Amino acid sequence: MSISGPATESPPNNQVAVTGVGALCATGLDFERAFKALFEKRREPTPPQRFDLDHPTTYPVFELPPSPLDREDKRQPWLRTSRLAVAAAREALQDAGWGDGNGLSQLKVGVCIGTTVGGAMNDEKFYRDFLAEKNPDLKPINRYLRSNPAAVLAQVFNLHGPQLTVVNACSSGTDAIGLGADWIRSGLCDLVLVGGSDELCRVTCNGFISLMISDQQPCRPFDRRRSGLNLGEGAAVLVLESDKLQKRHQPTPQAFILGYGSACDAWHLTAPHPEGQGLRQALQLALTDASCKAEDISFINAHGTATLNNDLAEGKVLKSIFPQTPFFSTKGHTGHTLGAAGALEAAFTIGMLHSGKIPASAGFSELDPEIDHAPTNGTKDLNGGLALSQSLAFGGNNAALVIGLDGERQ
Amino acid sequence: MIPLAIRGIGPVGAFGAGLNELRAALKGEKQVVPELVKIKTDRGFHNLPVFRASTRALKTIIKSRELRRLDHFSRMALLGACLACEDAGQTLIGERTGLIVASAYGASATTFSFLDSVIKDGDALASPTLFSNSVHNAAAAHIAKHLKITGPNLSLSQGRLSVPMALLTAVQWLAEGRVDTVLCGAVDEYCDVLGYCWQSFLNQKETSSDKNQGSYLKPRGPGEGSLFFWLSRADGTSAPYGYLEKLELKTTMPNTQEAACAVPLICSFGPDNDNPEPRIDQINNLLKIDLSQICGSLPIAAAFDLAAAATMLCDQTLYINNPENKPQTLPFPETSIGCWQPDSTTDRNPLTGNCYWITNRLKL
Repeated sequence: MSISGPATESPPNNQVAVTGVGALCATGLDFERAFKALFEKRREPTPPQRFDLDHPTTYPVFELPPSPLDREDKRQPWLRTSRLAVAAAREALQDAGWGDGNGLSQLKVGVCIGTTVGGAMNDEKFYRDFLAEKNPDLKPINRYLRSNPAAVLAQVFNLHGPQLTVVNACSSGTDAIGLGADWIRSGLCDLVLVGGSDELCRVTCNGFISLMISDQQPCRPFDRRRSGLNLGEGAAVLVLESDKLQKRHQPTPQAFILGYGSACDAWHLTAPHPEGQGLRQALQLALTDASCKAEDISFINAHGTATLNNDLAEGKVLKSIFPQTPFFSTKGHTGHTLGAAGALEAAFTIGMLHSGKIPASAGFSELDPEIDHAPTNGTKDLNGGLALSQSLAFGGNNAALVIGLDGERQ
Repeated sequence: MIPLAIRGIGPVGAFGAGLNELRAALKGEKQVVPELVKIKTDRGFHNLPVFRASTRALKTIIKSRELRRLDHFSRMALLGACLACEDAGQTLIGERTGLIVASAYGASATTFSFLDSVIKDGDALASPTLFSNSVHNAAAAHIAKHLKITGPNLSLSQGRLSVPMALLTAVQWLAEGRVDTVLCGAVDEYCDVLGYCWQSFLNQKETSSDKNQGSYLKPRGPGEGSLFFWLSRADGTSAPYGYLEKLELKTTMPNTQEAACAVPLICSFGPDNDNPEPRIDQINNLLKIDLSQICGSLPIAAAFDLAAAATMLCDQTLYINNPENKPQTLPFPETSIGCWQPDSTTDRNPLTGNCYWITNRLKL
């Protein structure tokens, strides 16, 4: 089998069906449990349990509950990031009616996964031994080389389509879904596994603490007293299917990716443009792509990291473009899962469209007068079947997805 | 797929910076001498030839003050990107241009420098500057900021498939009309850890039972560099470097029929690939070139292959680095060139497909 460039220049139909969802994060080891917990008041970030940090104070994180995924074994000889991605993909394929994925090898199936940690060689033990001239064994290098998340999913499910690991920092998961949907639209693939995955590790914890954007308390997105993010870990995978494949496979689409927009601030390495210039552009592109207007959107699953800069820029944009639309951040429950964040939030967005309810923005209690726009402060019933999920990232990347329940609206 | 017009090329490698330097190296007018780096492994010290790239030329384009916080990885990427824009005559960019940066390993030297700060000074004194530059998309951020590229921005990492996946994404964006032009490139760097791993893998290979397999093409040593293309849809005007007309990720080698479509088929042994399938010799019209002698072996070598093919099409001359390095003239004026980068498909790594593409200068 070989994969060529896209078959068509003008996509006949922008809608791409989501037929399966799988997710795991601090709130639960499968999508149902992870989603349900968003509507509970309980949230319990703790100091990292799987590794130590040496700081004068503790910085809580949202770690996965203990599970067999904590262990690398012969069947899963990959970095934790890829093991999480595999777990989410298995659940998503089951959910889509593909069982263990056996029927996929004869189809044009692609994999598009976002990550940050999963793309970096940063084994600290190996490096310490290297510095000490102990001639370290290459096992960690081999593990890293075979752990590319997209390649691992392709290997596990015997897929021969395009493989793409997106490393756009915190917008990776959203971008991966948008790019994978494009593969369906253009006829490049019959089915694509899209999503994101990231593990907690010392490098990212120390990195975000060094930038002084980590909170020592549970994070408070959009709140006046917010003081930074809590890191988290997790993975989410969606199964996207072409119209043609759906006719054969006859799944029940759970939602549709209707629009995708991506734009760059071209402003600063780590800070967003103060007026959210790139985010505005990405949102406009996503709405245009979905042939809808801002007032059609019933809620927004915001990026809402709880850093001063992100929430200020994002809040300003939301207030000016969507002054009446409810918005919230789920990071108060999951932590910031970096490359997985956009995918987890897209998965949650689908769950909310189905349940007809959106949650309170966990951690918010006091309006920031500079933002002057408050997220949800309690569970709300939904009106409408269209939603936005958006991500901002290091590097000035911005990405937005329009997700709908009804694929025929276009 | 829609053909992509190649309108500018920005190469940076051990051969120098810019297309003239690449061309001179392809012609054999310029000898590239690798630096010998001392590597210590469990078998003692080794002198590893390393093909390093200089970014000195960047200072003629951008003020030194603006480069203060950029690491070597981002500098290589920025230099390649600037050269591709300059080659294409582009100055005004903006939101209708997309940016794609592919890298197999990212800013690995900076990642290890960040670990140095943790190991030497402790967790609480980890360097924020090194951390932010170690993030995989830092290079794309610097390019976007400098060139004011506000369109879609993608950094990707897919091992040796990084370059074809970057090109595939460019095709997608242009076909859908998301952008009008794409600055699409790749970058990878050498670091001490990579040198150690390279030498250690070589040591292992020498003692393994299959050491003779593929031994006719020993890797010359690791390299580093960047290579960017300025791409657009074919709009009826002539593209100086031809058109990317076919892009395939294959799990098998090209068959004779496919190979016959592209005359000649350039088979370049770029990255750390010393174990190509032996059947390649059965393909007619196969022209083997070895770009690793001018840029070393690196996982983004596929970008250098395409640049070499595009340059040869532009010049209507084949530059074959045979012992005499004597350029050959193409057999006929209207022709296409295929590039194929072989890769071993093994049980352990069954998913790494081969890349194969064709450029055709005169068809459009």
